[in-house]
Amino acid sequence: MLEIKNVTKRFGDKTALEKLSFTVPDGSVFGLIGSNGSGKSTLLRIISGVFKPDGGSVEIDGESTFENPAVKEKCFFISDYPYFYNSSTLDSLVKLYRDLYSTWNEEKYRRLCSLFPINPKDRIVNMSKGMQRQAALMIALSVCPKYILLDEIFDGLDPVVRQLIKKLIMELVAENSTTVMIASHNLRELEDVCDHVGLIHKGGVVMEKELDEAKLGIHRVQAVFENELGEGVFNDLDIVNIKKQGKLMMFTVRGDGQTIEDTIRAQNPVYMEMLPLTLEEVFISEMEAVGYDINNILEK
Amino acid sequence: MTSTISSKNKNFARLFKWAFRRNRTILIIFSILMAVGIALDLYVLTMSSAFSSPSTDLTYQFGIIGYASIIIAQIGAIFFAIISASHTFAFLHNKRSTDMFGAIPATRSTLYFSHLLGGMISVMIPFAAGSLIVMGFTCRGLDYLLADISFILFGLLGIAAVYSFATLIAYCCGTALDSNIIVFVENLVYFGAVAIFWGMATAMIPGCSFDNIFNTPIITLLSPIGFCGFFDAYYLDKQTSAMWITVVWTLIFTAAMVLLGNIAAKKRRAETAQNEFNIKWLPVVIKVGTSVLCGGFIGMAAASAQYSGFSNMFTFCFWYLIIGFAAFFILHLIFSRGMKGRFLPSLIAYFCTTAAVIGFVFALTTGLGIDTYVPAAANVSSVTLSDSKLVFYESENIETVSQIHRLLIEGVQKENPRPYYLGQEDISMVNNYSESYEAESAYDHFNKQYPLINRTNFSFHYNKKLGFATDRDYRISYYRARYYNCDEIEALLRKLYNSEEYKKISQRDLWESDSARRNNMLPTEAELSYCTYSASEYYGSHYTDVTDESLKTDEAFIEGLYQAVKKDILADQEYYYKVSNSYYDYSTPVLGQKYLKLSIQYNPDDVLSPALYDSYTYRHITSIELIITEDYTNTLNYLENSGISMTMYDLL
Repeated sequence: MLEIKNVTKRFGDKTALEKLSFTVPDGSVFGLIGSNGSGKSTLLRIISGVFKPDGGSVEIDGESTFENPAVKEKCFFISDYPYFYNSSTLDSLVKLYRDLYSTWNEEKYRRLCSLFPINPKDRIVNMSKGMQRQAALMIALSVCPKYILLDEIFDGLDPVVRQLIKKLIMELVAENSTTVMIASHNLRELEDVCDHVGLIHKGGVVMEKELDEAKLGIHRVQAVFENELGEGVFNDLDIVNIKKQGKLMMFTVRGDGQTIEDTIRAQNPVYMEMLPLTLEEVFISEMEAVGYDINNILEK
Repeated sequence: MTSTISSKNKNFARLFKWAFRRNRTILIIFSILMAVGIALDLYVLTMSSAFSSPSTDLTYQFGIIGYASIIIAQIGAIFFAIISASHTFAFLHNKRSTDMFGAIPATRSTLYFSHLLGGMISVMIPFAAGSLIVMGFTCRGLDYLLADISFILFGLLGIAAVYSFATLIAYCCGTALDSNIIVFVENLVYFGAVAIFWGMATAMIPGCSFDNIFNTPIITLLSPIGFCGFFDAYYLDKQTSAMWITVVWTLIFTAAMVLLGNIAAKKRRAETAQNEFNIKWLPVVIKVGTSVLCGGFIGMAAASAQYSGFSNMFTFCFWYLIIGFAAFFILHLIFSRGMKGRFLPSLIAYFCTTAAVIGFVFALTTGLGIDTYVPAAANVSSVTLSDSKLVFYESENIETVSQIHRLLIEGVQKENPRPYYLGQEDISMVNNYSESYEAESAYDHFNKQYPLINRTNFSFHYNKKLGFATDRDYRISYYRARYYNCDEIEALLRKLYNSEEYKKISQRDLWESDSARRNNMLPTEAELSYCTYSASEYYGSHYTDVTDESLKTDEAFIEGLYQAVKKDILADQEYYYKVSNSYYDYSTPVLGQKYLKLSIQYNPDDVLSPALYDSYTYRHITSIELIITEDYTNTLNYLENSGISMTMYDLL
């Protein structure tokens, strides 16, 4: 189990993470989402042992990750811009990682070579951004780690490769019970693979739930009312957002779906429909709640 | 536990292999350059005229190639060590590579040591291999094997010192640029600052010699780039004490750098990559050190341009502050990429150092005891007076030299008392007289009255029993004090030059029975010439040159001649009065004295032979001159008995 306990990280005067705490269940695919500069990449680096936290700890199976090779051998981290030496080829990198990780699976590597259009003898730095990511992912999947940490893995990949990667991630989880943590702004792709999401903003956790629970807990309702509604008719509802276009009203409401429906129907709408929210919409809604929305930004 | 240790060792081995492979290109380039360099040495030397002479000692020639090649290889090795360290640890200075190496399952110590060794060995291998190859085909025998092996070991030690130092700096910096700047600047700043302040002491304090600094390890204490050079210099110059001190210090220095490097590796904040310094005080030290170097250099130059006086100290302080601050500020802008950064703490450090430097310079005006210090004779194993490389070992002579030194100091103190200031001293005797011809006349009279003082350069080198050396040089400052204690000093010099030890030193060839020159090289001819100086004028002389081709040059004759001369020299009570029997000592002949000049010539084709190389004067000799007076009865009789008439020269 991956436990993040009161992790704090500062860079000079700036606090990137402030007493961050949550737990990532084993075998889950955890989507780490957040605003720009919220600390997602920093958190992944702390988990993988690159950064040392200034406070708190990150523990994997009860042991701290920093300066702990035994624990780090269970993890594999792919950063947002994977690094390769100028002379690196896939073959040369494989030599290093095969030696360092005892869980290296050569058969899996061969299979991945046949799936991805990458020549193992070509210099990786000469490849496109997307293909470099594919190369990094091939190594990560071949290592068969218990925990895999991916930062913006979908960035630069074409839709077909994205589908392939999502499939491979799911295979990894199914075969090895690997825990995957993906930090990404591409919420559309995350939605397809993640079963847990954590939303962080300004170094703190805004929300951390199972994806379904996150979606179930918030609803969008479109309704048309013939007459003007009185003040405070929906005071009982936890309304995140109301938009009005003529007689059409759109609500984003937190809470139980049935209760919300009953409350709105009580006002005799001419038309009413409850629509599912995407993860992106959940994100925007939750961020609006903490004051991070486009109107606030433009007003500044 | 066992599996953890085993896993650590395996990771170390894997990362070591990786780091060594990463340095393959550097290893190949250095090997090629070494091979080219050695080939070039061979070509240049074999093309020289001396090499093509049929009588040239090939073994000796190859020996020179060997030394030159290994020393050049050392310079190349130091250069490549810095490049390799920068290349190997470049991963610290890039955010992306920091992510990669930070996430792999290895501790920071494992990463540090594996890369340190992998990189260091990639430089050591071509250096050692190339040097051994050179040693193989230039080997001059077992006698020189130790020297060659020593040079190689010095080189390896120097590489280790520089590499570990550059690695520590790499861990302390956020960028490769900062790291490389600091490696070079630190060596330059330390070396330069020591040289400047030592030079200042030399300029201000009578007797203090700039040469001192090269006899001590102080000059390279914190400049690892210079380690190799000074090992070699001490070894060649036979300064074994200084050499061993430098060797031991280099080992301590290297161990300290490795230890500190490991600590820096563990404590390094990965986020400093491409960013700020990991050790915040490092740029402060470099800024302050550079300001001291630049300010000290210009301040001293400005003050020294004027005649000595108290006002010079203010000239020094003024320019030190201006230039020093400018250098400090410029470096701050470079390191901080602008005005941000820890300017105030740096400024405080700068002003504290400035106060210390100015305090030190004012302290120099007191002489710091250097001006009056003479080592106790009981603590001295040998002393060299003058720069003619005459070394005295006997306690009586050491005591005589010490007495001369003390008398000299007395005179200097009277003429140039404390406080001492920066600036030029007017040493010309002309200034003591209103007319220049009066000065020249007085100078001439003085030299005739005190011929031994005239021929002696007052520089002292004491080798102390504990292995340290003390050097003093009064060649400049003595000129103004030359009228003090002259009679006593002249008398002591006479005693010294009449000692048996001096006689043996001045005619080394006669006494070194196992000399290569005596045993291996046969003189080709001996030449006689008869000289006399008239009593009426100093520069006027009658000089009759007689060359007798019938002089025997076989070994037995020369050996007999040497033995006869030896007896006469030892019996000569007033040895110093004669024109010196040493070919490298130019002395004034005694007016009216008749003497015979016997010149033993060696084959000029053998001029580069090691047998004719004099390590005391660093020259190849081609002849030995023996001055024979009427008192040298053994020699004169030997020549007479060998069929060379001495009566025709009015000597017998």
